[in-house]
Amino acid sequence: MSGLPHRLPEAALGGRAGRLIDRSQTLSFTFDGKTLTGHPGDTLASALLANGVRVVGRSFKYHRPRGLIGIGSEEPNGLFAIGDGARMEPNIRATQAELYDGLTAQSQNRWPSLDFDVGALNARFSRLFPAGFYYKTFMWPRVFWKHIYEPFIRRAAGLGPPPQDADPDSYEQVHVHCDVLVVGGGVAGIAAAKAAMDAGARVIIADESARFGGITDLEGGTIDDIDPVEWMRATVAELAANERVQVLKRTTVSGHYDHNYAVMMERVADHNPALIAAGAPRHRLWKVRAGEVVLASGAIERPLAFADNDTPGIMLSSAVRGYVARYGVTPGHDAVIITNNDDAYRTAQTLFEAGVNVARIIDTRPDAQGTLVDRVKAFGTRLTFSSGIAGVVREAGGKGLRAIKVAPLRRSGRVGDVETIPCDLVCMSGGWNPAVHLFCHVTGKLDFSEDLASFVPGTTNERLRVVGAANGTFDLPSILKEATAGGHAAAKAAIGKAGRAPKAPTARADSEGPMEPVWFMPAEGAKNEGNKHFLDFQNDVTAADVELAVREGYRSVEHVKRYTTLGMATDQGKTSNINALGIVADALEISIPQVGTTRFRPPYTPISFGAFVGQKRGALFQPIRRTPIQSWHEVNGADYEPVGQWRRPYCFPRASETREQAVIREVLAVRTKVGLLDASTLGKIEVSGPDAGKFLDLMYTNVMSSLKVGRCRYGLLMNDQGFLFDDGVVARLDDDRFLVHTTSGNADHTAAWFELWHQTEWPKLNLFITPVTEQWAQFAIAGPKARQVLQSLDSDLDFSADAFKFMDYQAGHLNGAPVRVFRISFSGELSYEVATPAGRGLALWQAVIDAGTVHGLEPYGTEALHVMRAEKGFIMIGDETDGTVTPLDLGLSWAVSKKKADYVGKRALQTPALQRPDRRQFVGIETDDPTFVLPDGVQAIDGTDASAAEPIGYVSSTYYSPTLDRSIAFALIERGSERMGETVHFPIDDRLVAGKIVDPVFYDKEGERQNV
Amino acid sequence: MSDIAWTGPLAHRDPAASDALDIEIADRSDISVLDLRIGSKDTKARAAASKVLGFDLPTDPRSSASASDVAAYWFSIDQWLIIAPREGLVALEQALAEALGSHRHALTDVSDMRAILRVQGESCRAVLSKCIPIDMYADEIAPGYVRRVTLGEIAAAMICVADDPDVFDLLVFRSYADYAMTWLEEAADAGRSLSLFRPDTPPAV
Repeated sequence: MSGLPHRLPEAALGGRAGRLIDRSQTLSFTFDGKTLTGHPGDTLASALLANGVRVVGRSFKYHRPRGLIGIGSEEPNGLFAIGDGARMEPNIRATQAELYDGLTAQSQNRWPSLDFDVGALNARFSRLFPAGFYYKTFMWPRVFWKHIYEPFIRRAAGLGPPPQDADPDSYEQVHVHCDVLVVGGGVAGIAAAKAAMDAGARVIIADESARFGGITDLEGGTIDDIDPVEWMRATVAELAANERVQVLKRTTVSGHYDHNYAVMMERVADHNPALIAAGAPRHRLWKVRAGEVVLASGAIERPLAFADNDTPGIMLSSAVRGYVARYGVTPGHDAVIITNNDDAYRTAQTLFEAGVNVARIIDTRPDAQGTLVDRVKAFGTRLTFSSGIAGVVREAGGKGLRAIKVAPLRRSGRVGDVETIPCDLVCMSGGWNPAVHLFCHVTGKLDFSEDLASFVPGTTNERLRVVGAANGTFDLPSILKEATAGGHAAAKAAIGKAGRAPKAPTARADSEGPMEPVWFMPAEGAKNEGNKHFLDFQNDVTAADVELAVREGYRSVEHVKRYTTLGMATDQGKTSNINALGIVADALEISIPQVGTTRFRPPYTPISFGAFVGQKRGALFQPIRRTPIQSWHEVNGADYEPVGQWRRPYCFPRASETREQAVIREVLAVRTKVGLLDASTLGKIEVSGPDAGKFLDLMYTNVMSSLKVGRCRYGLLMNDQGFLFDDGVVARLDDDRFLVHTTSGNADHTAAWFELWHQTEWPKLNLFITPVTEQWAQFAIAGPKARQVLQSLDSDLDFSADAFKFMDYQAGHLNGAPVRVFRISFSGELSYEVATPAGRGLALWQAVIDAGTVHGLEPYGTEALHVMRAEKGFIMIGDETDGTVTPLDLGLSWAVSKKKADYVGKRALQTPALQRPDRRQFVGIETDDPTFVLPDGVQAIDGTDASAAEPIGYVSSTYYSPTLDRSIAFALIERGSERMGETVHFPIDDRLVAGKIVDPVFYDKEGERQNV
Repeated sequence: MSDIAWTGPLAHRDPAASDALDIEIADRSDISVLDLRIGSKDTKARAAASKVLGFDLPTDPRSSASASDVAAYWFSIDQWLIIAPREGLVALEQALAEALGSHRHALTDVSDMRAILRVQGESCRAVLSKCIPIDMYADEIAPGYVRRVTLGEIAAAMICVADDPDVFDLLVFRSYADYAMTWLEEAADAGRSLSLFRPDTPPAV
């Protein structure tokens, strides 16, 4: 014996008490800082009960002391913050937390301490906190909400606190497919999985618990003449040994989605910190695509609604039985059982056999017969029929149970003939609710079973079947027959053939008499005023709250749910749902099926954010693309900016330089000497075939088919609404081969755009579209000395002005590497873009750097590129375009063909709306103060009265130009092209900045520099 | 002047320690790849290409064909990837171009466009299940199988090279090679071993 007040001796229950724990080892853990002990095999819940801990938390709204009521995922009260620091996780159900040495648990929802809680004052004023209280009270005055009501409510309410630091643990996701997914590892699930396995199906069976078997270990009977536990153990071993079966423990199927896609969360390492230390993920999210689903999720016992039924010491009957049998723990020493069915008699038997006094069995039914009842009668236990609990005698502060008051159940009127029975444990059983949650996630419709007084699965459009208790089948022989047939049928449906249907194992079980629903037990006192019959323990919703909601006019159960918050806590009303429906039905004087039920939604139990995120954090947060030159950028101090998923060098700051200083230096280097830009991210698409030119004429605004081999042309791409979406240089590589350049961000989109039009509109055109962006490293060598740099490399190309003209394309070699060279310029300088196969990129880049050093070559980044293109009046897709701008707005009519019969966007561009003269047009802006750089995006107005004016446009690009030593900007201004020389104003904070509308080409208007 | 060296897409990374991973991952990006397009109904052009290759271009979805060290992978109804050693590529490309000369086709050398990662080892399919949403245990994933897939969040192609023991090639676009390798190494981390569809210790009852 371990010496703990509530741990039963090993000899109890015929030597079977605590079959899951290892009494030879002791583990220590802390609860609110106090050190307690338990054994391997314990849950936090069983260990707390063994230590005599009754109060485990305070309730959500009234801060009433609460104890454990359940033993599994249905537990509404026993929520703890487990772990320390960044590893602390709130709202963990103690019933599912496996005990390990050093576990630290903190109770929640109490301040300053569990023992003394300020919020418990809420309970004293509880008449002021009726259903819909927040909606009613905090509506007025409106301004109070943000600063007074909300902060107060947030501090006083809520469940556990979130951890404050980044999660140090790792998570992962795995995709898995199977013929049959069996949800639940109880006896039904095991039998179904075995039948599916034997039929040849690939099977996954998952259970939320560390242990398989569900609650069959607590139900007695035999399977194939042996103890059901032995039968299940042997069968699970058979499943696990089969390489076509995946057996998953600690894995909750949390959601079922269309087409039998299911999401499961496996708690890989929560039970053992050593696994985390060894590198294991804490949780693993399984994304399952199943051919067929067999739902064997069991059933959840219902509490009973009597006054003060939330007093610590009042628990579900099956849970008490489980604590005794599995963990050798009795939550009390003098028990009373309150039931409306036969199953609770098993609890009486277990308690009796474990040596725990059963003071009384109160049965709400007029009578009960059968072997279970007879056996208990034989122990000499007193039974009281047709009665209920009319009240609870609580310890000071409501922290425990002293006695209950029993009274005959009458349909109406006052409670009389009250008898007080001293006890410290009440085992309640209000019947069983099939766990139909997953059945309902997709299309499942429920039927109401009068026999069970509960909803059971009805029809579904999914390839899903329900077996065992989840289907309302509770008797062991029937469960095995249904599950075996279900598993076999599922396998057959999934794989087409499955052989002869197997015979289910033979089982024997005690028969049970019918249950009788009871939704509400009257309490002493007139009209039960002031009594709390709790329905939803986690959200503190009482029967009176639900009745009030109905009295106030709520009829739909979905409205009652939201008004009262019933079933909206983290347990989603697992223990409260049907009881509440009973109350609503009574109040509306209709039947429960007429009331209907609220919708069940994923997740069945909460999922960690880490599991949702999986691997996608840190370096894998999103894909980052690397150019072939990236490693050079890294060792040479590049300062990056994101461009799509690329990280392009914004500039290359030297030791003490700011970003701005670096950009200025880089611009001047290109303007006066020579610069080198990594342009590998540029989109590249080869369009080849006899009709390639014809096709490009249809895509581009200008004519491409007339391009001569070895020449390049700038082109514009419009969508079919006439708006510009991309631009770039097209080169004709060969008679029937064009190379299209796109902007970095539009590479994939443009290739898909071409395919779309080719495949849907002009499939007869003879051509192929091949995206080759990643095949090539590409860099711009720009500046007055660019030619000299290239000429100093070993090449078969003649770079002289006459042999290699502006807008020429030639293929050849540089230092032996194959290259494609385009003499094009985005900076306005003499410029060559050199492309080489990606693998040669890094070495060629280095060779250019080496050759360029004597000429003062400097690498430059995207910002210098942008400044220089702006100095030259070149538009930038994404700056000067936003999806509403046409080529005409940008003054690019020279690139828009008037001769071509058709091309994408042509007709739209001719509509009156896009031809209006008062559209916003592309202009340059020179601020009156040349040192002032306008903010990007600032609005422009006519006149000087900012308060009255309508904006006439906005700034689309704005820079300090080192070349001109002044600020420059582009703007889109109404009738801009007619307004050259006019002054407009830009309201910035409280002042107006004046600027003159000018030609957008600020530098080298004749283009002499690029033509040398 | 020195020759311009070829640099692989993963040259900047240190390889993982050999015992750190459940599988072996090797970079074989230095092999060459041709992108071949032929009209889906153009049997003559297909025959011309097949003659050069020495085997019929595969026309079944997700299939491949090969002879000696050249293999062709079905990529769509009118697209194949021809994977061959770098040496001899120029000759192969020229021979194909000549044979296809008058037929409607496109032949593009894309040898540097992708990274090709070879993964092998007993845990291959379990590790790839953490990377790719398809059923890695499907019977159809046998040697010669090729499929375009999503790896993590990127486009990839997967080739089953051999089974027993499993060998797979993963093709990803070059710029994503580092991302793919990071994802693979994390999925294959020995501390995160996953036993999938294998005999396993049964849970307690």
